[in-house]
Amino acid sequence: MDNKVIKALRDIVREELIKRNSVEVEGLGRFEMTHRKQHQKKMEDGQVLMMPPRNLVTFSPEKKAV
Amino acid sequence: MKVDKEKLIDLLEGKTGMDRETIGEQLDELTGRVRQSAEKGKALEIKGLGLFYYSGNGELTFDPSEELQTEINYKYAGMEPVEISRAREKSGGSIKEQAPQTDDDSSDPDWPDGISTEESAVSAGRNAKTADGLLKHEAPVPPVSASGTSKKAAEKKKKNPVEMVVATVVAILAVAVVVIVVLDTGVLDPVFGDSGTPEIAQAESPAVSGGLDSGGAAEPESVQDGGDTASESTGPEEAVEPEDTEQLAPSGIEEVELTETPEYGLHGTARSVDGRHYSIILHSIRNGDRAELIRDQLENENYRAVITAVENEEMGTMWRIGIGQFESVPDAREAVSELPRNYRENHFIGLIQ
Repeated sequence: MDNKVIKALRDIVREELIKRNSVEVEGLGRFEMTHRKQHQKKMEDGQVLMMPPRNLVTFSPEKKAV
Repeated sequence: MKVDKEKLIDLLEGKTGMDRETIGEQLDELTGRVRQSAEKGKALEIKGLGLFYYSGNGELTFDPSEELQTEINYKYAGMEPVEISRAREKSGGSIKEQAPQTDDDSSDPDWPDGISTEESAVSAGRNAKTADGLLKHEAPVPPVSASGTSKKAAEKKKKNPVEMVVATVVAILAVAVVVIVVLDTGVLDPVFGDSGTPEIAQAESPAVSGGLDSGGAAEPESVQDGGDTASESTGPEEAVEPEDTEQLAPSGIEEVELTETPEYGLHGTARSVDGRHYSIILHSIRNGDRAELIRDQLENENYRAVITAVENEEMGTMWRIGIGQFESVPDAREAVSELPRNYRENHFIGLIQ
């Protein structure tokens, strides 16, 4: 297997995710970027934290292949 | 937008310069390898992208690599969780502490209102002072008498302005005469015998002439008119001091400051308090210069005004202007109940460090 392709795939996934595009890789699944707004998080000791906003990568596996 | 299979191959083609067919084969090989290792219970890592493995329920799972996570979060780099309220130690603090968030957000649009209430508060404060200002040597007397004096002030306003002017002139003349006589001879009695009523005015006017003229006009008159009834509480003190009012006035002010600068409190000058303390936050704004202006206004009202800068990711630096320094939230709450309504209704208790 060619490393070049893997590297290219990696770069494409990263680039596209930053552009908020989802990337579907056949046989694997779909990569997406989701945004989580800032939110308050209450700790058990009563401390309340304001969590900063964050982007997350979510991956949905291809159903039929499983 | 969505990058599907076709689009992905297009992109790969552009990146690698390989033909579509080869790319398709390579991709199949890759997915095959991912699945294989996953089925063996292993994880396959694509460097710079992440880990593929089967989770407990047999689903293919992907854990993004650190690099990928950092990359897609470049906008939020350096953002840390911000503590909104501390771990439970002072019960009841938490509800109020939630307010800052919304307060910060809304404070700018609210600002014009803030200013107007601010200004009305200031002018109200000044009115109060014209009544109180003369009473500088009485200041240590608890605020109970303040309501009395403000009533007096109200009464005064109804009086004929001509009367007030006459009273002022009489008072000023009397003071001038008294000062001259005191300086020359130190003998007071003959003067009092002559001018009668100015006796009391004389006690007050030295302080007055240093400060507020209009107030000076009002005060002696009220003493003359209603001296027996309204100013009974203040009368005795005035009577005690007539001889060296000029020296008393400055020292009286000093005393006020001395008595009002304990570590904690609502009035006086802000002090550096060790560690954390609480303040009644009245404003939260972005303009630092304005914040200082407001602080000065509040200080003029004899509040212990404190400015703190709070960093807010979305709003930048917010300047919080609070009054008072308190050891605990309940202390601050108690002080709130003494505040004028416009401050009482729009505030939150904030932690100062």
